[in-house]
This record gives sequence, structure tokens and C-alpha cells, in this order.
Amino acid sequence: MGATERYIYLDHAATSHPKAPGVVAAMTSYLETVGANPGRSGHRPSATGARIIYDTRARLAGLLGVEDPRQVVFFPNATAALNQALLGWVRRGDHVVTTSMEHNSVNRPLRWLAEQREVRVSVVSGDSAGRLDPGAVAAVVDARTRLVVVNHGSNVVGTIAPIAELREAIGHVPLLVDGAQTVGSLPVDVARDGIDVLAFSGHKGLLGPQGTGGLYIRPGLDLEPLMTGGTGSRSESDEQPSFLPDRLESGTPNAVGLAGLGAALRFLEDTGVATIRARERALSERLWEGLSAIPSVLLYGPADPDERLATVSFRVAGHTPDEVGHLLDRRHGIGVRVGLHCAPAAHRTLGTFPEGTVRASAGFGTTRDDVDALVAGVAELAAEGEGA
Amino acid sequence: MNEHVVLLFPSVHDVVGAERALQKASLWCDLVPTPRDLSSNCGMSLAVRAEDIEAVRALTSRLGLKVDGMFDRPDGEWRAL
Repeated sequence: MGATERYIYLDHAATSHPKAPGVVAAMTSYLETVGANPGRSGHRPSATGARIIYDTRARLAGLLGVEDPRQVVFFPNATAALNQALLGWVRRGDHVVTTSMEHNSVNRPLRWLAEQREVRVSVVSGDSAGRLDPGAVAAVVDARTRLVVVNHGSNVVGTIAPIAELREAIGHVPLLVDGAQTVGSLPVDVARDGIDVLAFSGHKGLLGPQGTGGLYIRPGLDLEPLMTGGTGSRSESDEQPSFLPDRLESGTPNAVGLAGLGAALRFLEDTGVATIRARERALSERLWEGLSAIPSVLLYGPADPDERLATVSFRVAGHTPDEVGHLLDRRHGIGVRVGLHCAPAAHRTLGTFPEGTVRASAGFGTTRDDVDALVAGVAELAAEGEGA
Repeated sequence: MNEHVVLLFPSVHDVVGAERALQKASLWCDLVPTPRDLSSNCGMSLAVRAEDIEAVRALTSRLGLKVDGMFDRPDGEWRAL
């Protein structure tokens, strides 16, 4: 591989790369010309920082159909957001309903709740492609169910859960949606989709930097803060503020990251999430069709591109996933993610546990040529036969 | 600063939101450190012109902005408006 050849990055489900235009400049600008902690001090750089954070929060609210930006709270990543949502809402002895397609950022906190707070967790199985039946979820929900928590888009096979239908089926039970893989890649409207709490990542589909993410919380749904501390408000008191976003945002925010996220959101507004979705759907379809034409390749997840994100998991007969990934990386300059993707439950559902799969995920920066190169690389590997 | 009126807010989010709203309505305002003698939940406040007080009141009321109080000090002592 020559020095000038561009590395083909197909791991957008992990983090998007490159970021949206303007992100790096916004972050550099913050570090070089603003610098201050936003809003905590009374001086001009601090005020500038506060305006930038406000702007990012307001844009995110607009993107998600949230009326009051105060209901959008920032966290370092979707995992921190999910932990706050789960541990801040589910009480001792409560009943929680979830699915078999969840990421460990949901399953590990649920396990903690089961062990530490005697929480009863009911798990509804997805089918062999990871699809969820809203009726099956409703059947397990009872009068004492405190929360239904559902993965919106599988990080393993991209299966998209039918959130609006789920809301219809379960009635008024609080619904927490893990949107780590979907926000920015699929249009999401919290009111239209009936979402009470939505966790999102800033550094995947939203095309912002790592270290950003957050929660949308429906007004009236009060979470107990997991972290308390300085918020730059009610400073005369040692009591945590009762109002959002301050109540759940203690400590110095990732101002430089949120400046970058703001630039990414401007790009998403200009481009349109629907446009991004159409593009990624087409790449997803091309990827699936290309791989399915190779006889020794086994594909997982829904075949219909409307039912999944631009994420595809596969195996090559006669090769372990790590061999495939390694060869793609070293020989062809293509980056994919192999293994269990922090989602052992999903792999169990798909029948790919414990060996795992090779996961290729396209994103904003991916081209048709990138997809074709992956397919060609896998075809070459498959043709070489076992243990090449 | 004596001819200005200072608006107090519960949090940074509220101050910045109010600043935006006033700027959009072409009303002069300045983000300033909350005066030491005024007790506030938030370390930043908004200064506005005394002659704009009615317009500011109307705007904050119409938009439902969370103003904790308005103060001026014509004789060197802060007084609530």
C-alpha cells in the first residue's frame, strides 16, 4: 500500500471518521481563541464559551424535535448517558423490560441493577436477524413495569427497531431508547416517535468528536443525578440544583468537544439527515449485495436495506473473523471491526456467539469505491481458501 | 453601569437564552458578572438600558424567560424594580 493511498475506514459504528466539515476548525478555534470554562466565570471568554454550549444544545434540540433545549443534557458519551438514565430512574425491586439485542452499555447497568437493587429484568428476544416484535414486548409489560429500554439500531447488524410501533404497543410505560447508532443517521423526532428518554452519541452519526454525547429527557420525568458537584448555578448552596440541564451536568463540560459538535450539527442541518440516510442506505445495499455474491460469505441481519443501518456483519468460511479483519487491514488498507462488538447478547441472538463476526459499517465519509474495495478484498480472501 | 438595569437569572442557560432573545429583538444588552451585592443563583447577569425596561419586560414575559429579578441603583444602592 503506497504512502499516498487513502486508508479505507469502514468502522463508523465505532466512531465516524472523518468528522463533519468545520468540526476541527471549531475545536481549534475554541482552544486557541476562547479557552475558558463556559459560563462559570464572568469574563468575556467564559461568556463566549457559554454561548457556544447554548448553541450546540439548541441545535441538538432542533434536530430531535425537542421544544425546550434544557431537556437535552450532555454527557461524555452514550454509555454515560445510558447509565444516568438507568441508574437514575430504576428503583429497588422495579421491573424493567428490554431486548436481546442490547449493547453492553445497557446490559451491564441492567445487570448491576438486578444484583444491587433487586431489579427484575425481562428480556424479549429478537429474531435471527435481530428484529423486534412490538407485540412480544407488550406481552411482557405489566402494571408495575418501570421502564422499557430498547436499542434503536443494532451496532452489530444494523437492525432498526420500530420505535413508533413499540410505543403504540406498550402504552404509557416510560420508554428509553438507545440511539447511539441512529441519531444523525436516521431522522428521529422524540414527540412523533413517542420517546421519553433518548441516549445519543455525539461522535458517531452526529459526526462530532469523541467525548460528546447526551440524553433527551421528557419534561416531568425526573432522574436522580448520579454525579453531583459544581454547576455554576446556585453557587451559594451545597445542594444540587433541581432544574435541567444543571441538575445532571456537574463539573467542567467538554467545551472544546461541544464546540466541535455544534459545527457538526450545522453541517447536518444544511445537509439534512434524510439525505444522509438515503446515501447510507444505498451504500448498505451495495455492501450487502456485493458480499452476498461471494459464495463462502455468510451475512447476518436483515437483507432489506430499509430494515437496517449501513452496518453489515459477516463471516468468511474457513477463516476466523480476526484473520479476515487482519488481512483486510494489512493487505488492503481497509478497517473493519471484528469480534463481539461489546454486544454479546446480540451475537447470541444472531447465532454468532462466541466467535463473533466481521463488521463493516459505512458512514458519511464512505464512497461506493470503498464498498467495492471491501467486497473485492473479501472475495480475494475467500478465493484463497482456508487459513490463507 | 449606574444607568443600566441588571437582570438576574437562575442559570447560565437562562442568561444566554435571554441574551439571544434580546439581541434578536435589537435590544441592547451586556453579559456581566453578577454584582456582588445582588444575591443570585447564577454568576452571570444581563445588563440592559433603563429606557428599554418596558420592552425588555414585555419580551421576557412573552417568551416565558426565567428572570429572577430586575435591579437598578439610581442612588448607588441596588433596588428591585
